[in-house]
Amino acid sequence: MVNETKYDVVVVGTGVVGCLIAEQALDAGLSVLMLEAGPKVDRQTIVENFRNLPPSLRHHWDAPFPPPPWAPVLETRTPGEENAYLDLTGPNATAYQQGYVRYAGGATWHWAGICWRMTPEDLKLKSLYGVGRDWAFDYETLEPYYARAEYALGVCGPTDAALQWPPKTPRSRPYPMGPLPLGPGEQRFTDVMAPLGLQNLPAPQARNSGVSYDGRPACCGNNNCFPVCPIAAKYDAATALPRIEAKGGKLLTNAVAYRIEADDRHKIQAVHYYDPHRTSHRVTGRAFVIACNGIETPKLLLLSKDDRHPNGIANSSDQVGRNMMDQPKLKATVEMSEPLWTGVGPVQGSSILNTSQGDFRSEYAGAMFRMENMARGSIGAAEALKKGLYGRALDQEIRRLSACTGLLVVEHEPLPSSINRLTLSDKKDWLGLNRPRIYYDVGDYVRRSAEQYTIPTLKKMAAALGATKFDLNPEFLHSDHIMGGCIMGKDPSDSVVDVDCRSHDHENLFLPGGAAMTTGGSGNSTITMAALALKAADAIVAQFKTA
Amino acid sequence: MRISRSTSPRIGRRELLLGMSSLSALFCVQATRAATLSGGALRSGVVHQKFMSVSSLLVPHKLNETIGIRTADAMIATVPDFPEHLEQLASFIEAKKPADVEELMEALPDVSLKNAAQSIIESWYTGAVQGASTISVISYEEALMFKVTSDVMTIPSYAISGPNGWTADAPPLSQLPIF
Repeated sequence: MVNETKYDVVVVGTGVVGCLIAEQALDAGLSVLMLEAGPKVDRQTIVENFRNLPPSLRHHWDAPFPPPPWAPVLETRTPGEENAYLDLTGPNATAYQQGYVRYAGGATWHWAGICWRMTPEDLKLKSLYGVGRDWAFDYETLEPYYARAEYALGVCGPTDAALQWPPKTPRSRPYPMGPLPLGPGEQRFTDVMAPLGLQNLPAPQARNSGVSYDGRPACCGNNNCFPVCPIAAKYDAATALPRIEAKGGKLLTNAVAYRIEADDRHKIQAVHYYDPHRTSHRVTGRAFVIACNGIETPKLLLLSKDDRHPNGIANSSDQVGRNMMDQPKLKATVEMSEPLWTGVGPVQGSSILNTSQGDFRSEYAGAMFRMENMARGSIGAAEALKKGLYGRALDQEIRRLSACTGLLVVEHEPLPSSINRLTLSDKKDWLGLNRPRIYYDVGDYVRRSAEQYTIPTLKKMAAALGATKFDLNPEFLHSDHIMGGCIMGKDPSDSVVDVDCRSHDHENLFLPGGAAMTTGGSGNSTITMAALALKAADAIVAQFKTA
Repeated sequence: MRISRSTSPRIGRRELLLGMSSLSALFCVQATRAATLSGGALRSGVVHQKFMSVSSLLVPHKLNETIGIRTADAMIATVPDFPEHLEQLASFIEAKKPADVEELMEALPDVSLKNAAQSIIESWYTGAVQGASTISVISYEEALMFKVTSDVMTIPSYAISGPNGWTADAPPLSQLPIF
């Protein structure tokens, strides 16, 4: 066992949350150590990994990120491989096949970059609609942190208030950059949806629009935001890490945290990690931030149980690992007689959000709809070649299928439910650590929404687009927005963290990010995670000042 | 099945061996016996010339000879009976002199030769060779499937314009690019 220097702040995880907090702490004059389970890999390696994949695997977002044995993640390259790490069970296990990356930079490597804020109503589901929970604070409390997060990540978005989300809700600052243009597919989708009352909004997105920002170049429409932006126009935490190191932050990669150590007075004293040789190390600090995503964070807390904390660290409420959420997703492929032409601009640039709000939420889930904007050339080619075509007929069919097909997607807002629970599997990983076991049921709230609301809406959308084919995959899928496992609340008996993502049980332990989210809303979770990270960072810095 | 995997995060250039028949993944780098992928100068042999000649009828577009050599080598190494099928296709074309791929495919006498022709076409369009148990990735951005929509659609990871340089305009569907 090797001892390291004592740091002011020890951050486990190097994704967006860990990086935002590390930088805030460094700027406040605190010393920072970051632990990352996986390696540091350069962008070009990931880009080349992507290009070198067989064509059929290029839509598997995990494939360009082969994990080292000590930092496994869910992989999908071969049939059955998805069961090798996450131990999933329950009626909708498939809807929790979460993709994330255990590299320096975390899942920001392959996030879509989309930054929808939650609405004031999203934070009050219980009091407005009688379902789920209310957040411990209101939208006005969160708003300044949203604005800071948008500037920290570099979010472009519309200047026209009528196109901003949430609607009719004041913003303290404009987006730092104007919107990206829409390509032909998303423009046509916008135009066709409008008469249906479905407002397709230009997405606020952490991609540089027309100008460089924060040392990163302008987006050039490389249409590869996931699995990786080849030019770093999209924010990813990998671009923040060199700056953190330049400011004096210490980054330890291939360091797998496996135990959080608390003293007799429940104060956290150390984090223990394994290196790739399975040698254990102990690092000490004054404040600890566990920000290694909504699955790995509760897993680490549960792994850390000891005599004084028999349910795990931060778990006197027995809520650690419960309330696991994501937006259950349905997909429908449509084929039309007229071309859409996706594949121009970023892979996602717009969405319909007005379908996520309304009094119907007392009965069933709101949802976000969109049309994916990925280039469909390889999909069209695979289909055309399967037909045995050749010569001019082959070219015409590839072009038709590439241009005249599209993928419609709906993501449903989840409710926190204690039965959706992460526990420790009796199956172990390469290091001998328990793998995460997760029970997942999307629940009747989402199922009712799909039956009564979202599937009928998808069919209306397809008809309006002039679809000649509508192929709905009826199985709920994952959106990779992992939330809820360390749920925030005012009452320590039924929640894990307070309004600053501080553990109710341990005054110097912070669990910010998706796991702290009380409800999920319909939109992508990252900007809310980032806002919570900045709020937690303020609390950490304030705590040091008063100590 | 054992997992055999490098601890390196780098996926080996162009040559991937995928074990598709079990629950576990065999995912590793394999050098083919043709050893053409080391980046050195590629030399065209008789088989390669035959492959390019047959390909030029099967795929009526400008074909990159370097990619052709690599594709032929991957097919020799991984596709069962490929040399024999290539020989038969070349002989058939020499004897019947079909005017184009449409006439050739109509005239080919048996299914195995049609399949061999189709797999050559597929390799040019996808940039990959499907072997008996392997997939060899030969090219990415030069795969012909991208050329068919190159007037509007991005090749993922390559920019088609510049900062905010794209619009909602699209050319007619019927206007196939020349490539």
